[in-house]
Amino acid sequence: MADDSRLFVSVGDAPIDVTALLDRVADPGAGAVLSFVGTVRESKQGKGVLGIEYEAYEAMAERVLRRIGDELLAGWPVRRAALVHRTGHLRVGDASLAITLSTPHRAPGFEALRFAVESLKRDAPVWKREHFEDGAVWVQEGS
Amino acid sequence: MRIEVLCFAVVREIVGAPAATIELPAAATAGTAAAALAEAHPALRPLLASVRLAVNEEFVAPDHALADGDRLALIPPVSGG
Repeated sequence: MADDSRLFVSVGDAPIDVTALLDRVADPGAGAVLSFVGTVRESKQGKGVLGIEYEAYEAMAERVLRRIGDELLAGWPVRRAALVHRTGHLRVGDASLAITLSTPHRAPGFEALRFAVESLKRDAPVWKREHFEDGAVWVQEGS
Repeated sequence: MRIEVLCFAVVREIVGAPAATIELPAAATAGTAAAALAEAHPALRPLLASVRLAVNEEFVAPDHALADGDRLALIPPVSGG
């Protein structure tokens, strides 16, 4: 079982503080601190996006993020990791997702980060609804 | 047995509520419970093939046996991140 204090996960409507998440994974054994931030893009196939609404099964989403974090700590030499997904109404440019982690060397760090992003997007019970001028649409996976 | 079914996104819009309580026979599975909800809300039927099932916050196969008081969630295709 991974040490809980090395892993931070959160799902909620507070704005994401990426600097704080970088600080959370700081570690004297780390030579690399990596981050991924997912942000709301201004347009989708030429249509202007007014905003995005994220809905989550919060209790299960935190459990899934924790499971992904445990896999990071077990599968790569990750010192610390943080995974956060924001819910509620977001505007263009807002951060919806942030993952930070620290490793002794950068190569495993890049691999672990990619694994974390792809796992989260595949398994986290979170749904995105895009608001356009002519209405709102639940996004289907793969979009 | 009685179980609570949590509904999200497009499923929530079809069912009209974030949760529904349904009565099921003792030998019910996650799959038969989802089918029972689709009986009451036929617009769910075409979605069932792409909906994943979770019981008490863990993904399960359709043949997972339910127990009284379980919380079933219908997880339509996710789009987090």
